[in-house]
Amino acid sequence: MMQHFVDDFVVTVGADVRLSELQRVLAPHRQWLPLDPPGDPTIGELIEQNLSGPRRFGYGTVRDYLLGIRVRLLNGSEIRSGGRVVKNVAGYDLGKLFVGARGRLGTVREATFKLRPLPEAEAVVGAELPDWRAVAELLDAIWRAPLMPVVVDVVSPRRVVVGVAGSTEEVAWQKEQLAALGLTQPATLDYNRPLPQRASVAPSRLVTTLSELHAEEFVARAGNGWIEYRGGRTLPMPASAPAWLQARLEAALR
Amino acid sequence: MLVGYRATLDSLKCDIYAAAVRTLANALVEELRAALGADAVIAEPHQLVVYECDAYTLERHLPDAVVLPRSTDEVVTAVRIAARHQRAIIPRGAGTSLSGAVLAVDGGVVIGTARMNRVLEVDARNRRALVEAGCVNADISAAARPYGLHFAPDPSSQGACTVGGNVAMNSGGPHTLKYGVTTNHVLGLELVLPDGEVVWLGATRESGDDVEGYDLRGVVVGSEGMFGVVTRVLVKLVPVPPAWRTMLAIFPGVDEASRAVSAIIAAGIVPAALEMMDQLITQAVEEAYRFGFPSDAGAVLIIELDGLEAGLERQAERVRTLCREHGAREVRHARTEGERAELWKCRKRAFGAIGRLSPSFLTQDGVVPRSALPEIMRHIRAVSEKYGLRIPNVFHAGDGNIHPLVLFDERDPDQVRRAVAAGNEILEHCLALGGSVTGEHGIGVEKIDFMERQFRTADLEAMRAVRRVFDPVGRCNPHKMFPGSKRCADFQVRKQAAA
Repeated sequence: MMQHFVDDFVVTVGADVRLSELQRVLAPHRQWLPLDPPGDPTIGELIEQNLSGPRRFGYGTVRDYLLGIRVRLLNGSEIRSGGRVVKNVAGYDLGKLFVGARGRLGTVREATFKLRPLPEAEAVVGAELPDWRAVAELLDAIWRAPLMPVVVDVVSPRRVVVGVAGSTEEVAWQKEQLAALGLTQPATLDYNRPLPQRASVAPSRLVTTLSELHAEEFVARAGNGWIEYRGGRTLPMPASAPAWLQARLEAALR
Repeated sequence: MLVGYRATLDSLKCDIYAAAVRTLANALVEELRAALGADAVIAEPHQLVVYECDAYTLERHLPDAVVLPRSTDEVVTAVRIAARHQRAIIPRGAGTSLSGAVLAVDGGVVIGTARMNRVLEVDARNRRALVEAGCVNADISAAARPYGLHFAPDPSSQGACTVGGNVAMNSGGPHTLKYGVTTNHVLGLELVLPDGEVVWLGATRESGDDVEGYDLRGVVVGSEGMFGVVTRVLVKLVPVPPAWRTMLAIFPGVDEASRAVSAIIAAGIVPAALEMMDQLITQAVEEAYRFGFPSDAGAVLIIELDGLEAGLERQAERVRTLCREHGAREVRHARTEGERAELWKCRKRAFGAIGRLSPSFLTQDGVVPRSALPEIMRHIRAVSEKYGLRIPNVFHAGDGNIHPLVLFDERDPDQVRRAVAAGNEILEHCLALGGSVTGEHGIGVEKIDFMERQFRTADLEAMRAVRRVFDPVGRCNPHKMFPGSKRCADFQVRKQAAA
């Protein structure tokens, strides 16, 4: 179930469609939904679990692309929010409430996303670093450089992976800049696999947090302060709102 | 129950009621003055006039009082006093809203954030800033500029409008085509609920971008000030793009320019901004600011590309080619930062130039799928002829977000009637084309009647339910957004005239 408004860079897609299936339909038009979570979730899972992947630093997350949504609430009524135009402030932005709600407010049936052109080129480079201090220094150098990376990941045990995308010229130029910083090894995003635990810290505290985490395996989005990991310490996950207010929301939509 | 009773009052009773409330209001004002200091409370009618409307001037009403708190604590104090007196609270930033979003429909206490205008912290390392709600939009970017960063949402009123107002209305601007609107740049916020409770929603200074739980921050953005008073905002900062190409493409007509817009988007180019001005507005802007726009141009596009220098020129050449292929007779480009700033100043001050064309104008704000731009522009021309009113256009073409400006003379009731009808007919057509009645100005009081057209009963019920999560009694910015909201006396008269 899919309706692709090709010239508008917009697609309406059913919740049970797999992300890979959607991308396959969009690709011949040189378009994509720039979300790259691990595994191959359905659109419903993508929204309800607010899944993201390595390219989120450059492209953002589900909430940045969701234009409209159709949801069946727990009380059985079906509601729509938003629409299929890229700018729309009519009514409250209810769609945001269902992103990351894990289905607890209702079941997503259908979503409308804005799309992006597929980049002309992409390159991924990496470096294995001897200690955490070197990781911190490399990240600082990346942030100071005049680069516009789409991926800046730290991967266990101590690997920094940087991805750039766009026109062939800007990708080539950025690769040179990254090489000057010591990022010379071609790399892939094959570490992009689901991990069970999550942590969220200010990007400036990321390296310290990772160094004290003692996780068996992790990937960290350095620019977003987002860590997915397995094993090691359990870090507290900050809440989006006071529990009593979240409970009120659940009651209101029931 | 009281609310239901009020809604049944006819327009005459509405006035009498307002007068009675004014007497009761004295006690309220005294209490506010005692708690916040006399200089933080405005209650003299001649001073309240400033707050009788926002930039949507077709409806006006005086609040009982305006308070200008200096801190979250003072907001809480004012909100609690208003709650005890069972009066409405109306959060207000700079009053630049174009939909009557801060109109005190039934009086009440306006909470102005003008004195809470500080940038509290620029956290360059984490690319964030913590600001007070009354902080002027442009001041955030000014504070971030030394670090090579800026706050991306750039409404035309950015020299005046506040971040609190941006949050309330989910404001856009020309550069939101590439960078997104306010909601894409707000990480977290502090909100004073209508009962005085203070909550923080979304990411914090210590957290990453994502936090666990329902995204209540996301639904506060764009809630038109109906959920409480936003007092502090943690915003995202993004790097100032190192390179840019700003072009001015001159077309024989709006049709050609609209097709060029579609072609640029369809070619997979994501311009930072893609703005259109038609002939009427180009002439007015030229007269006002002497930029050098050709007065015989049927339409002009302002196209800005930005990013890294590498590859940008090839993309600009592609844009120039597409423009020429779609009938552009000339494509100029800004050679210096000064020329570029000048061009944007003209665009952002375009509404101001309308004074040269007409004593009054109604700014409309509709959205269509981008591919339907040629169709909606033809429709606007037909509406203009049908109602005998000039309708210049200056708008965010890349987003399909139109801003027809319906020119009329407020002193002529027939023209007022025609202007409102013309605006409504354009919005109807936006809906018919699969669009929206507002892309960035909001529903406010202006577009309440369209809500039932764009949404179904169940959708509106869900919105009302979400509002009750924050404001169970509906005391924060009441009589907005929802069908059946109360309106005051003179508006009823005008609605009849317009019918």
